Amino acid sequence: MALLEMKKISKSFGFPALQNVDLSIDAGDRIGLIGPNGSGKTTLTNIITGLIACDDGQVIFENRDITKLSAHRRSRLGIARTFQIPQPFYSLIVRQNLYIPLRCRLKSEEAMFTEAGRLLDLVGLSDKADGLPSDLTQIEQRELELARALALSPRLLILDEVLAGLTSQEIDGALEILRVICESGVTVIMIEHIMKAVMGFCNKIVVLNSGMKIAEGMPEDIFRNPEVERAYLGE
Amino acid sequence: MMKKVSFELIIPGIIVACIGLLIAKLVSGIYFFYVCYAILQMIALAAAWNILGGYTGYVNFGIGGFFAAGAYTSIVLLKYYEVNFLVAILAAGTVSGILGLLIGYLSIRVRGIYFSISTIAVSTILQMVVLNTPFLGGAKGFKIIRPPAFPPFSNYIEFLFLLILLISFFAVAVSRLIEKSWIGRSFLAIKDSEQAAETSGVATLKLKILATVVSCALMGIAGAPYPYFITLLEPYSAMGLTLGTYAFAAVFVGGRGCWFGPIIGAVLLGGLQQSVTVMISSEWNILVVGLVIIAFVLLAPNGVVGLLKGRKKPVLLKKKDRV
Amino acid sequence: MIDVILNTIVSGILIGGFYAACAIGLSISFGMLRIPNIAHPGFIIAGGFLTYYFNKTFGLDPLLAGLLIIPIFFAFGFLLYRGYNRFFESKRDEREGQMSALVLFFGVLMIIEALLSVTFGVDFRTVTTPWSSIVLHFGSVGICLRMAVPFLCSVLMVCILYLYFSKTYLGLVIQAVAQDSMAATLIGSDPRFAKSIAFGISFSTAAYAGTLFVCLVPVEPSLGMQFLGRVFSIAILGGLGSPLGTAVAGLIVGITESLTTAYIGSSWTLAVSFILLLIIIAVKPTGLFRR
Repeated sequence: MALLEMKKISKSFGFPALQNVDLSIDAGDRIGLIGPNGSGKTTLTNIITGLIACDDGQVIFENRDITKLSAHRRSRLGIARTFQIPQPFYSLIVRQNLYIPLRCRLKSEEAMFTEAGRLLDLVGLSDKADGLPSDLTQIEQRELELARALALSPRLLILDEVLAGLTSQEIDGALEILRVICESGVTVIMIEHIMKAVMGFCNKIVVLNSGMKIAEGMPEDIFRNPEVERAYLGE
Repeated sequence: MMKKVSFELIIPGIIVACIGLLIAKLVSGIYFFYVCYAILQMIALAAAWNILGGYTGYVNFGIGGFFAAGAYTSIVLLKYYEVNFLVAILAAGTVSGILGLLIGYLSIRVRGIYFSISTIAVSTILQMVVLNTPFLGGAKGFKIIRPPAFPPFSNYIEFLFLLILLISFFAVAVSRLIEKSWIGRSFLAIKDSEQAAETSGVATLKLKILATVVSCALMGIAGAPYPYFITLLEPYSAMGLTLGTYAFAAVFVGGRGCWFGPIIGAVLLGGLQQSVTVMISSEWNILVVGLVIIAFVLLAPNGVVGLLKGRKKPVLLKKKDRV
Repeated sequence: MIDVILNTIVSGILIGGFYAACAIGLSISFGMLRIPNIAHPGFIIAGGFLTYYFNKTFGLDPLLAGLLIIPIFFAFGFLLYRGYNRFFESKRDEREGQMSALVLFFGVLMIIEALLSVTFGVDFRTVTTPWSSIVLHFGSVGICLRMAVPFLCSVLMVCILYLYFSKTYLGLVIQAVAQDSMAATLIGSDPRFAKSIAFGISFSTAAYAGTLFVCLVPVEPSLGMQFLGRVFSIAILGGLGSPLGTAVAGLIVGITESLTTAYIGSSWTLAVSFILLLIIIAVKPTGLFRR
């Protein structure tokens, strides 16, 4: 049974950003969503999370039509995401940044305190818990993004370029964390330009180009696909 | 929750009322009460503004309109229908709250400058409505004769003083309750990033409407006793920008997004206003406030509270979060 | 009956052209540069008072005096942008910066009003010229030069700005910077310089709009706040950043106000632009004419 199903999604911003995109994701999948800049990856993410409405099509999550559902309701159903440019809550300390999503499932401050500590431990930010997000480095802010997304205890996690700017060693470390997350039963969609990471981590790859899905399949097959090569390298 | 409300609102409220009564008994100068009234009213308006502007980051320039909506509601009810003062206050809060709902729906669609300009629009339109409605006194306004004083007060202004004291206490207490709860946290999240708040499970639309309604209703409540204080209620002074500008300047002076910022700001600014008005004309008054606003925005964006606390520490830290 | 309507519409068009001149600077500063300059109408009034001062003291023709104050305002706007950029645009948190800037400009608007009141008093001021009282008749329609000259000057101003932004190199650079600062850096232009120029132009239009204002009707310091609604509704209705859109929006507001004054009552005129503004914001915040 598919966890997330998208049927004939179209969206136009004066120009067609997405055209008739179908997507089906099974529970436990590790999807790599790739494509050149402007191919519609972020638009697709925004449609899944509900930040923008699609013009046409249907989004089904766990057998439930969520096309008309607002973003915060979707996040409570278990769809979480990170932002490509980190958007921490600057007025709150790092720990309280996690209280915002944690409140969806925990009621007492004590429980939130413990759970926030656990999540910060997982991403390696425990020593910054009482600091301000503005004092974090870019990479730490991205770790905070990840922890905040995980705080929703998501079924589906969308990672928007969390690995950009990391060194090869740091990427290995981050992928290790992501594997742990996957093993706990979270389905992951990863938007990424770093092919090594996508190849090593994902079990299925979806390629977008100019708002259309041009390929989908196992990592090995995708890179032998002539159409993908054309999209990336030009004619 | 009920226990918390009674601890934070009712018991301190009774204490504040007792202190107010004591002051009314001990101090005999009328001028003292006029000055206190003006400052307390500024505290109430500033605290109300802070709920929307300080926490969620939506700048409302139309304070005068919501304040006057409360003042007009209360005087119409008191004069034409001779209702109880408490009823008038509640009605004032309700009317301004409903106007706030209108603004709240706008805040769903637009933010930043668009929102701010629409608050000016709403308050200007209200002014036009009052000017063109004879029932509301038109441009001439309402002349109000204060009722005679009743025990334990020796002068009606003492009663008004106690009333505004309780109202400003209420406004500050509400903003403190919000700040200390998950609602305040979510408001701050909305200010920082609405998208991230929404994808973290915050119902941003509902909370923004809540913030505007509470904020505007409190402004209306603060306006309810105003007709008896000013004794001539007319649209130009009641709905003009001066009153409201002082209130939100007080927030900037004191410190945004912090419940006691408005108190500090209003006391400082109110004191300054009293001395400037006594010494020189009202134009200079506006000039000074304008300069104060600019100086604080540029040099101390987090107000006096920010200066005291040092480099931009969030005001929301709880003891147990500091660890 | 028809004559009255015709005259009303003609005067609405003339006023509307002048409104466009008032709003076009805001369309540049807010639309292109994203600077929430709500003090714009304050600077218009200041321009009006300066024109009045030059006219009274040196006996200069107001239209000429207006040309003389343009460089002052341009330089002021140019420098103000430098300060604005340092204080607000370099901040990490753009939204926080915008909010502070909004409040700052509100303070500026108050200061302008107070300074004008202190210097010139709160009376209405106007300038009279030899042409002020001439009325031309076209059939049943009478056109007063007092209104027609500001209208023509406004039209000229809009045309010049339209040509500037669509035909000259620097104008195109400003447009490019408005859309994407980074991209403009790549073609070798300094975005800060281009934006300073644009802000200077915005202030120049405010100055000359003030000149036309004081020719048209008597001016008083507190009019700035009233004009806030007009300039913003026109700038937003016009699609922010488009000179021609602003012109059309100005005409719409002018004609609507004129009809309101004639058929509903002048006490409601000020509400027109504000109501229009709320409707635009509620229905279509991008304006009628998107760039």
